[in-house]
Amino acid sequence: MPASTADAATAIPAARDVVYTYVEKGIFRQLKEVKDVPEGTKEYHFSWLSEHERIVLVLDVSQSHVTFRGLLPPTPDRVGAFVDRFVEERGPDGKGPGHRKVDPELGVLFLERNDDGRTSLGLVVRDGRFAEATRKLVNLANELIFSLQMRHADFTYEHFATIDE
Amino acid sequence: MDENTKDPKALGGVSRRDFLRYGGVGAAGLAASSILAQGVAQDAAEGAENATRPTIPDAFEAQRAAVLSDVEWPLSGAQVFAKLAKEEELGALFCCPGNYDIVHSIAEEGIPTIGGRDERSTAHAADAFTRTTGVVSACSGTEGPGFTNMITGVAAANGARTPLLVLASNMSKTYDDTEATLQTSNQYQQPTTEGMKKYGKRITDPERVWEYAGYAWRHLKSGEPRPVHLDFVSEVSRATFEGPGDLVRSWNKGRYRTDYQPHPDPAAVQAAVDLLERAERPIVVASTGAFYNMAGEAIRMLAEKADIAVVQSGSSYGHFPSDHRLSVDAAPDALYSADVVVYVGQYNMPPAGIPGGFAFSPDAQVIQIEPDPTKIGRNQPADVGIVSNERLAIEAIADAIRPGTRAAWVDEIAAARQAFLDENLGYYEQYRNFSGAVHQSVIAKELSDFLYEGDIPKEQTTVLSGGYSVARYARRFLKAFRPGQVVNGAYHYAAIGPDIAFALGVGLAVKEGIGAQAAVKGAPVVSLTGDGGVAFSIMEIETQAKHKMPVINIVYNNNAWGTWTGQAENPVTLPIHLFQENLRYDRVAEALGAHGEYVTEPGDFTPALRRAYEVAVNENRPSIINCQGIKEFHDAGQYAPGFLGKVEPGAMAYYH
Repeated sequence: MPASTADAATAIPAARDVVYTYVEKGIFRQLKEVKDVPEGTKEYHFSWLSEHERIVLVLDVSQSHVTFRGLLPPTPDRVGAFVDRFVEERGPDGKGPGHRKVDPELGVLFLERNDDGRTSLGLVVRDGRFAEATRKLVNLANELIFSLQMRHADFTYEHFATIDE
Repeated sequence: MDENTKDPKALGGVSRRDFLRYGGVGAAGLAASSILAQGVAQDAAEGAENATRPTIPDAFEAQRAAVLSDVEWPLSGAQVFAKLAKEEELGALFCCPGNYDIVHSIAEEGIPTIGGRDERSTAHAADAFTRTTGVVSACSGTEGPGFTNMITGVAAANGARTPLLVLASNMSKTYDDTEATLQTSNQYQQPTTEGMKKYGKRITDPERVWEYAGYAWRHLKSGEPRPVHLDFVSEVSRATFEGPGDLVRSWNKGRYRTDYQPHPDPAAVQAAVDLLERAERPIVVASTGAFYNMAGEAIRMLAEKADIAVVQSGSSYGHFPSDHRLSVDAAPDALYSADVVVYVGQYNMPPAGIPGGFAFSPDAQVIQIEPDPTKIGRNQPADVGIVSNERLAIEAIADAIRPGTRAAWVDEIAAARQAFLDENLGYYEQYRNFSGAVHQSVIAKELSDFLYEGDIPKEQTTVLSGGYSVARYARRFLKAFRPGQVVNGAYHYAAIGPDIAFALGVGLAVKEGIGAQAAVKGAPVVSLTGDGGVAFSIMEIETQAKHKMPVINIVYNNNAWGTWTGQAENPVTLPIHLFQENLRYDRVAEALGAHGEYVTEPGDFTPALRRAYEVAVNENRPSIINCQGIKEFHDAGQYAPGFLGKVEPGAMAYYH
């Protein structure tokens, strides 16, 4: 459910603070905040987990979404199937410890295949809990990319990393 | 560590008789065993190996039996240097022609000295020797090309943080800047090793040879380890000294350096304890510094007292046992859950958030334990930085922390370990019956069964883990139960390939029972490499053979560099990545005095491994097991999962 204007006043700064904790830790590098965005939205571009492309993080209070837009380039079927399973297993019925899944009271994890063939990873956020949702999504993206690196190294080598022997 | 004085059996070590106990084939039945009979039949059918096998000159046996006499004053400069090396317990010297004043003096002090076939390989051998023993070793080359041939080996040792002593000769300093001989510019060795050493000196003043040796040993035996490079003009190595009075600043070992270690700040220890006690899923990364400072037992104490998980990183493994309930080496899916990470001697610290960096959660808090304060907070922010000898810091934390249990965390680790094992077993099941080629998963699984699940004590076999495509599978199954049991050949510098050279160093370490290998003195050693790598140092099979090293070198032969898939559709560039198919590295091994096996079907791998093991135990002879794969196994589109990746840290890691 879209958050109200009043929610945006508190949710955005709180989520922004979470983003900047990662900047301070050196995890998000060369972060730029995009200026020309709709009201109730924040868009950040930064370097993280990829040697090739910048990561795009969008906080959209009006849609109650926090999203890594276009996180994954076009994927071969086997990689797409892995990503689908990853998302499914982070839902309430997925296997694995609770702290690694998405609490339904926080939100719902989703994948969105875009027109350009890229895939976004996002959370529909409940009750305006944008700060928590942002932190959760960052952890999920970290886990996804490293999991792909372990099992689909040819894909991550081509699209994310120049570091490989 | 003074493992040489301890009873190997008491350490869980093994006797020679134990080496023969595996797979139900007892010592008495060896000659009649069908496995060995098959091997003999194979030799007879080929009609080549026994009849044309090279012979080892009697000089090698004479060397083993030689009685060394004490080298007394007057001494040459080289002998002075060698005496200090002996006092400092230099573990071994690996060399090629040249620098003989130094090399012969070191050999005559009774330090194991191995003449190899090229300087790069001998430098790699020395590096691996130290990574598996924890004992300083040396490599040597002559001025000019002998020295420059060592550079890759020195760089690899620097990347891996190995305390390697690099020795090279110079001609007379009267030839400086004259280009008088073929070996020109010989005074420029030290600038050449800038950035790949901890300390270096071109020694030109004969009376200071002892002093500069002291410099070298202070650097080799303190702080964060890295190579030390010394080169000697001939006026130094050939100078004559009537007595210690002819040397300057020549006080003895007990006074030119100290073995006392820095202790942690109590406030820092308390800060670390506070963080750990609040954590739900803490983890220790036991890295290079944990090995060299023998922090394994302290880490185990801490881990067990407070249910703290442990994952290993670094150039060798085994400082925390792989089968411990708290080990995360083979449970990579648990790494993301860690909320507090304790880096112990993590000298190769990557930046946060890079591909190929640590897989930990971006929210994890960090405790960093390092002897060098300039490294605290480098590349990753440290919430608590502790400047200390690693073992002493862990002991202090273990002493101060309250006992605790974290059942949910332990259960999560166990589940992740089982899931990873199931995943890897799935790859094996996919390919164990493949006809006409051997998949990497078959080598990985069946080698693991042979070494850890049969009659060979699981702590016995030291493994040099190398290769490229085979490594991605083998590392998922390799285990270590004691320090230095698995050596990560390509660690950090990514010198992927010179694994037979690395195995030469590991082979000597185990053969002589040095340092961390004392408990398994004389046991067979296993090394893994690929066909891309075997060519880098295959001539060291000859060195392994003439020194009677029981090394089983497994070569994964898939007819190509592992980089071919990216060029599969380009007829112009594809051949750059290919070799001839079905090359017989086993025949090369036989020509060099080793035993050879050629395996073309999955079902033949374990029998070949057993035959090679028999040769190792009965003849102290190395082997090459040439396992024929196909390059297409690398391609996930044709043969899933193809080229597997790795997660840092952990048993699969190269960089961290």
